[in-house]
Parts: sequence; structure tokens; C-alpha cells
Amino acid sequence: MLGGGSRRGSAVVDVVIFAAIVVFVILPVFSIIMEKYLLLNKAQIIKDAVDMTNISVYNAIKAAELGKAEVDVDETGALDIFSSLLAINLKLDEDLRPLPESLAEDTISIRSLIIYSGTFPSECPLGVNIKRPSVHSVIVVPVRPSLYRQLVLSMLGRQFVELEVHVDSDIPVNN
Amino acid sequence: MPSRVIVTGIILVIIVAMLVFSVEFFIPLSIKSDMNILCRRTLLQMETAGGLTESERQELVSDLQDIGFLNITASGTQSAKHGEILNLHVEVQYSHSKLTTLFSREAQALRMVYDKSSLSRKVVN
Repeated sequence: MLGGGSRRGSAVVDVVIFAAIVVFVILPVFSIIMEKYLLLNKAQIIKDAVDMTNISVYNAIKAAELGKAEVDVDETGALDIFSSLLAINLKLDEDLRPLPESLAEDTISIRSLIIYSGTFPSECPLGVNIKRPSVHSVIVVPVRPSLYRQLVLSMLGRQFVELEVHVDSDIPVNN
Repeated sequence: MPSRVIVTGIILVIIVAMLVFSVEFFIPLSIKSDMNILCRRTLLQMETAGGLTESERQELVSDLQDIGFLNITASGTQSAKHGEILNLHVEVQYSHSKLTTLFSREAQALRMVYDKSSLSRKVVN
């Protein structure tokens, strides 16, 4: 038979165990899930912007070649269109440095931009099957974590987390 | 024993409140994603049509209202030749009730913006 002190002790132990579970399990797991979700959300916003930018590269197709089975692309023009539309959609300046409202924290780099206009099926450098005229692009966007920013960055030993965003967009085939 | 029941009850209430709070945190993100999908569709239509027609604008506003957005303003480039920049700017307000403390909820209004540009593909204007 337990005395009153033991019963009080049992309740105190419950509270201590609960507090420990909250501090050492629930909050860290919740923070990790939240951080991951926020990063994924940022990546999705960037993907949407890159997707629209990819489709705009369609305009680099040489007009004289339209109507042929395999069309030619002005590659310099494509990169110019891609850079300028990317700058507009992600709120960057012309050197791809972030403006105040941008999601990016530092200069964005365009890792690859490839236009597939013939010879299908093909495969993009990251292994995605390309079956139709498409634009493949990979950009790297430096972002900062939203929660425990300094802690995460110091643990990683970096100033930013680099999000590599890869988008393959089908070029519209009819107008 | 009664003290243990009370402590367990309080713990359960706190855990449920934390779960509700965390689930509610994600709702605006999901709603924003729905908004992006609708706006992207409209921007693709604008690319082929060479601009935002009044009927497309109304359709977009109506679809956004169906999701539950309020105070919707949608504007876009009305006419652009092949290769010119098209812009779609949509602002909405999303109101929802959110858990603020353990036993209270408050209405919260969020402003969401979609602002994207693309190039017109319409060859004949």
C-alpha cells in the first residue's frame, strides 16, 4: 500500500517524463519536419518559377526552322531568355543577385540549360527520360534555414544551404 | 491516483493542442500551392493567347473564390506580341481560424501573392 508521498512522487515522475519527451523528442522532431517542409516549400516555389522560365526558352527556337521535324535553337539567345526571365520570376537583378523580396539569399548559379529538340527518346544528365521537345535546367539557389538558423548553419559549417533545383519542362508543341 | 489522472489528462490536452497547432501551420502552405496551380494554368493560357482576356481573368477569380480566397485582385498583360514579356499578378486574402493558445482560437488573415512572368508564344496578333 502506497502512502500519499509515493502517489505525489508518481505524478511528479509523469510530469518530468512528459517534459523530457517534449524537449528531447517532440520539439526536435517537429522542428526537423517543419524545417524540411519549409525548405521543400521554398524549392517548390523556385521550381514553379523555373518551370515558367523553361517554357519561355521556347522563344529561342529559330523561326526559320519552324515546321521542320528537328528544329534548331539559338543557344546564346536561350541562355539570355532564361537568365532574364529567371531574374524576373525570382526577383533577382540582372547578375542573378537577390533583390529584397527574393527567396534567394545569395547569387543564383545556372548549372545547366539544355534544349532537347530532336532525337527522342533521350535522357537528361540527371537521368530523366525525355520523350518530347523539352528544356532541362538545373539551378543552385542559396537559402537559409528558417528555424534555428545559426545552429543549423554552424553545424553544417556553411553560410547557406544550397538548394539544387532541377526542372524538365515540355515545350508546347502547338500554338 | 487522482493526481496521476489529472496529470495524464493535462499532458494529453497539451499533446493534442500541439498536434492541432502543427497541422494548422501547414494549411496556408497547402492553400498557397493550390493558388499557384490555378495561376500557372492561367499564365500558360496567356502565353498562347498573347495576353489575359477578361473571361480568363473572371474564370481565375471564380476558381480562387471557390477555394475560399477573399479580396481577390488579378491583373495581367492584356496584349503581347511573340517574344514579349507577359506578367500575371494576383493578390488574395485567406482568412482562417487558428489556435493561438491552449484554449483559444483567433481569426487570422493572410495575404498571398502570385507574381510571375513568361514570354508570349502567340505568333499572329
